[in-house]
Amino acid sequence: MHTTVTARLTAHHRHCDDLLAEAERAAKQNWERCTERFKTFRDSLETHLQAEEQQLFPAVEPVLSPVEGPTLSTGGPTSVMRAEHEDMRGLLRLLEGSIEAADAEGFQGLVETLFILMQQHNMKEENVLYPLCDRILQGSRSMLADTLKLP
Amino acid sequence: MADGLAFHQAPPLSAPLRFFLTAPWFGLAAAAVLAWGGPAALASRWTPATLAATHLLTLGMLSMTMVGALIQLLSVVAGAPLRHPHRVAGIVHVCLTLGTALLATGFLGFPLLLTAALPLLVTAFAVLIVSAAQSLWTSSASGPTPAAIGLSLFALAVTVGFGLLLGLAYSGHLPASQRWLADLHPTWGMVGWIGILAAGVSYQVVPMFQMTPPYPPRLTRWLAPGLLTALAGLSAAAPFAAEGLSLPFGLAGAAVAAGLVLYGATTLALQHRRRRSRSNPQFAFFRIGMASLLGAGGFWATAQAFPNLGQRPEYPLLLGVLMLGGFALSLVIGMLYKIVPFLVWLHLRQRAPKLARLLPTLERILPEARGRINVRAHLATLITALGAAMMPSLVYLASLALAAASVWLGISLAQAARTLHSATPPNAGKVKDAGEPSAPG
Repeated sequence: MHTTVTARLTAHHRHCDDLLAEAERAAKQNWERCTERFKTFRDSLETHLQAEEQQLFPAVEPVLSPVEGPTLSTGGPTSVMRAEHEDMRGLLRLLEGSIEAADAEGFQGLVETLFILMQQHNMKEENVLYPLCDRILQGSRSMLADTLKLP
Repeated sequence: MADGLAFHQAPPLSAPLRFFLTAPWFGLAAAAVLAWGGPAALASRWTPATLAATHLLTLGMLSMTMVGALIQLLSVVAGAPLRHPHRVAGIVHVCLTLGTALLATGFLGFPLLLTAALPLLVTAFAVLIVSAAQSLWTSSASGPTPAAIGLSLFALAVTVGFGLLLGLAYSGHLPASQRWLADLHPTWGMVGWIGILAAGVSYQVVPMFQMTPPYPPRLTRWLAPGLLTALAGLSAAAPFAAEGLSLPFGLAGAAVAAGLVLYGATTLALQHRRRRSRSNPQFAFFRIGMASLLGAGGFWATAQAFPNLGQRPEYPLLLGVLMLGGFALSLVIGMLYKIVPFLVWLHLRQRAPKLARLLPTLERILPEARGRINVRAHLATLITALGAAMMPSLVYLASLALAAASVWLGISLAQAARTLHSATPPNAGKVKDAGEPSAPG
């Protein structure tokens, strides 16, 4: 009995949420800790995004968007996920800027924006995309879920 | 962008937004009607002004917002976007807006307008129910939230059916209806349509956006079907209760109240264990909502224990204020303060994907300070409305508070939406461009 994409990536979403919440909490009292927690969060999120973009999505894209032929990753649902990943990376860069400038207020405003973006993105993945990936991978007896590169 | 899985096809911005921007102004209309009716309006729940104000709030503000949210949520939580979002949103919005305005005017002494409102409202809800059911039916997503959405739509159909019968009787097209029918209509609306939908959406929104532990799976699996079964039992027992056989009716009522209290208490307990330190207006509104729900449950139970209380004309008014204003409106207003700035942000991002880093933050689109002021105005409305239910002369104060809170909400949302038209994002100049994001894929 191997694990599912849904179980592994959903658990990792919660892990990233926790790290971001810790950074947010620390922003009020302890800027050093906030910086440290934010960096852990950023790396963790980046690992997650890469596991999806480099391992999961390529494995399911041929099944998910078969009609679209050569434009596999430009029009299907995974391309929307990829675009939202880029939005998150954009916000991460802004957050890095506010960390460097020690701008706690700006940091919190950006965290709120990133948090909402992440959660609605996670909702779509956890409710629809991951279960779909599991069905596709189960059909091909893939063990991909076990090999996802997550810490 | 035709593909097998369409969950990413978020509806066009205008589809939900038109509902959200309309809703607050019906709150203002309700305040005007209450002020116009004055203290005499609160003699019972059957006075023209009370009926008009109640429907302005339940249809114009609550259902208006919930329909908009549903159009948006179907794609996010159920992977089931509406097939023709523009057309559906257009028809439902126009019919619901006109129908609600006509219905309220009809209650105030123009039965002809009331008759005209009925086909409009039936059309609005029928179009919504049929298209949402169609999307849910063909979606691959399963789970408690899509299931609860489906059940709440069924409850909405029942509510509309009872409402149609009552409306035809009120305007003289049918013989005067039974009192129990008039009680079942708001019960199905509040518990079935609003309560079940709120619970189904909470299963997703509370753990994810407020960072709480998840709801217990047993609750998410059984609450919505349980509430619906209890409502069906209540409806079957109602005619017998009118004949004097009240035990089955009382038991079914207790089951309904227990289900709602369970939902409210679980939500408050989860929120107590949230992992995010920061409070925000949505969170405050949610807590007011859950506290009111528990208050309503307790008040209902007290009235069962002391039947004299339940017979008093204040009782249904107080229960109505707690459920409608305290529970439902709090949730809906709180949600608006989150969903509107996010939709605006998402749209700005889609319009200029290369400028992602130059976009305003949510805080700039709709500052939380505005939401915090709305929390206070809403609390003032609730307290004065509860007071007015017992001391009708307070109705002017309650109307004033409701008017202020509604106008504040309307202006806040309109300002957030106006960000869409500003040529440059408010903080565009403050951030240096660090290179374009890499292309997807």
